[in-house]
Amino acid sequence: MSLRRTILLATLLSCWAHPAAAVTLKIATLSPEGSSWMKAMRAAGEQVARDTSGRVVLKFYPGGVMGDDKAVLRKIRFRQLHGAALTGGSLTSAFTDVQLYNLPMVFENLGEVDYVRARMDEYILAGLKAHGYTALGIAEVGFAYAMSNVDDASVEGARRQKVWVPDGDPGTAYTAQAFGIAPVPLTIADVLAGLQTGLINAVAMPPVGAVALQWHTQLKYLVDLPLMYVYGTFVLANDSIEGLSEADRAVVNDVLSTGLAGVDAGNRKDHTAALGALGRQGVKSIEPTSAQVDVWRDHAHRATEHLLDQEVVTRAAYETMMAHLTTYRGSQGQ
Amino acid sequence: MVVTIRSSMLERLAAFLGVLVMLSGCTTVMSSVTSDMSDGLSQAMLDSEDLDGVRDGAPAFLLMLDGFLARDPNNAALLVSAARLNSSYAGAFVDDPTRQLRMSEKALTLAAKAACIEIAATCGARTQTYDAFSAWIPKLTSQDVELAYTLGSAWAGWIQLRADDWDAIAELSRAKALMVRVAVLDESYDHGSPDMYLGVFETLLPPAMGGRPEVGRAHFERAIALSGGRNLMAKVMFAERYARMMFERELHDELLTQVLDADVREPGLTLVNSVAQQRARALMASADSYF
Repeated sequence: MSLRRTILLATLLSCWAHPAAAVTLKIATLSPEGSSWMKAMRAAGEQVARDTSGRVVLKFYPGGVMGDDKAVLRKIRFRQLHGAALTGGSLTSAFTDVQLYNLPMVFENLGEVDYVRARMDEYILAGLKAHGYTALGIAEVGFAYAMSNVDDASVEGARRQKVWVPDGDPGTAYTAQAFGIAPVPLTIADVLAGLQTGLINAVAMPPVGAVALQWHTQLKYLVDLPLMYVYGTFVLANDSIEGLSEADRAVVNDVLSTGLAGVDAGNRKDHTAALGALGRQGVKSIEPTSAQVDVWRDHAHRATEHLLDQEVVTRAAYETMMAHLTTYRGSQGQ
Repeated sequence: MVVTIRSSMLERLAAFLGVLVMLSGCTTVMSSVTSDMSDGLSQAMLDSEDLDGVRDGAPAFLLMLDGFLARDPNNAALLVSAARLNSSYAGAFVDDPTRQLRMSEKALTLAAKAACIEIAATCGARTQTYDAFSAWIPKLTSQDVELAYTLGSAWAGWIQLRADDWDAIAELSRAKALMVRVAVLDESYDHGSPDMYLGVFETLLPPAMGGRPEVGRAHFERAIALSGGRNLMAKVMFAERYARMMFERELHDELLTQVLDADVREPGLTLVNSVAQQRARALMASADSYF
C-alpha cells in the first residue's frame, strides 16, 4: 500500500522564502533519554546544527512520548513529525521488503547477516526512498532467541509452553502458529508481569531486550538457536528534507548516516555483551541437537513459504537474499 | 548550625584521631570512637552548604575512613559510612568517569560487606540467582532498613554510572527490589528517599516498554510530601525523569523554580539540596533545547 503524503505547501513556501531561517526536524524514538542511541542522536544533532550554521535543527522526542510506531507514522504523515527511529516491521505499509531480514531463521549466524546486509541494505534503503522515506541506515538489535523456564530445546517442548507474541503483530503470531505454538498476545509493557504471574512462561527476544526489560529475572533457559534477526531503521520523510539546500541535505544525510552506522556497530557489541550477561545472571544456554534444529528449520521454511505466498515479503527479494546466502555458505565450506 | 568542613580541619582531626588510635590500643574503644567520629563528620558534611568545601575536604575524610577500616575491617557502621560517602561523593562531585567508576565500585563493595556482616542472607546478593535473591528480600525487617537502603542506593548509583554495561543493567531489578522493601518497612527513611529512588526506577523505560511514569510520579510526590517539601533532590528528579519524559514543560519549570527559590539549609539535607540546586540550574539552562 502506498503511503499517503500530506504536503503543507505553506510550510515549504515559507522555507523557500526565508532560506536563512532554521528548519527544525522533529524526530521521535522509543529509546529513553540517556540511552546509547539517544546519546549518539543528540551528538549527531549538535553536529548537524554546527555544520549547517544553525540552519537545520534536530529536535528529539525520546522515550515514546509521541506514541508507538503506528502513532508516530501517522504524525509523520500529518507533518507533526518529520522522522523517527522505528522497528524493522513498522514501515511495511510503505515498503513491504523492509522486513526481508525478519523472516524466521533465515540467518544462522552474524557472518551471514554481514554478508547479506553488505549486498542488500541498499535495496531496502532505495525501496523506502521510493516510497516516501529517506532511511539513514539500518541498525541491528540482534538475534531473537527462545527463552523459557523449561530445559527443553525442541519445537515439541516449545509447543507445551505459554509463548508470548507482541500484541497487534499478525506476522509474528502467524510464525508462532506455523511452529504449532498457540501464542499469547501481550503488549511489551505487560510481558514482565505476565512472566511473574505465569500468564506466559516463554518469549523470543534479543538478549538486549530481555536484559533491558529485566525479563531475565523470570527466565531460566535460552535455546542457542537464532530464531529471527531484529533491527530498526531511522527515517526522515522525504518531504521534510526536500526544502533544504543541497548542501544542508548532504550534511543531514552524512552526519545521521554516520551516527547510525556507529549505533549499528555498537549494537553488535551490546548483543554479545547482553548474551554474556544473561549467562552470568543464571540463564542457562541449551544447545538443541541437530535433529531438533532440523525440525525448527523445517517449520521456519514452511512459515516463510506462507509469508511469501501472502506477499508479506516479495519472492524476488527473498530469492536474491537466498542466492547471497548460498554463495556465502559455499565460501564457508557449508 | 551549619558546619563548614575545610580540608585543614579534617587534617587536624585525622591527626587527632591517629593519636587517639595509637593511645587507645583497644579495638572496642577505637570502634566506638571512630564510628561516632565518622558519623559526626558524615553528618557535618551532609549539613554543609559549602559545596566547594566538601568537594575539597571529603577526600581526606574518605582516606581517614579507609584507615579506620584497615584496622577494623568488619565494623558495619564504618562500612556503611564509607559506602554512603563514596557513593554520594562519586555522584555529586567527581567528573572523571574512571574515578567515578572506581568510587562507585568501592561503595557497592563496602555496602555489600556491611549487609553481609549483619544479615547473613544477603551475603550472595550480587552473585546468587534472582530467585535466591528475591527469596530473602521479604524477610528483611525494620531493623535492616539502614543496611538495605545503603546497599540499594549504592547499587543504584553503581548501575547509573554503568549505563552501557549489560551486566550492570541486569542487576537493576535487585537494587529496585531492595528499595521497594525499604519503602515498605520505612517509607520516610532518609527524608523520603526510598520513594525518590522508586520514582526513578519507574521512569527509566518508556510506557510502551513497561515503564510506569504515573506510578513514578506518585513516588516522587510521596517523597516530596514525606520530606515536607524539603527534599529538593526529589523535586529535581521529578522534573528530570518524569516531566522531561512526558514533555510537561510547565511542571518541569515549576518544580525547578521551587528548587532554585528554596533555602537549602535543612538538617541532613543541606549538602544534597545544594547539589540539587546546581542540577536544577543545569536543567533549566538546557530546557529550551530539550522541549
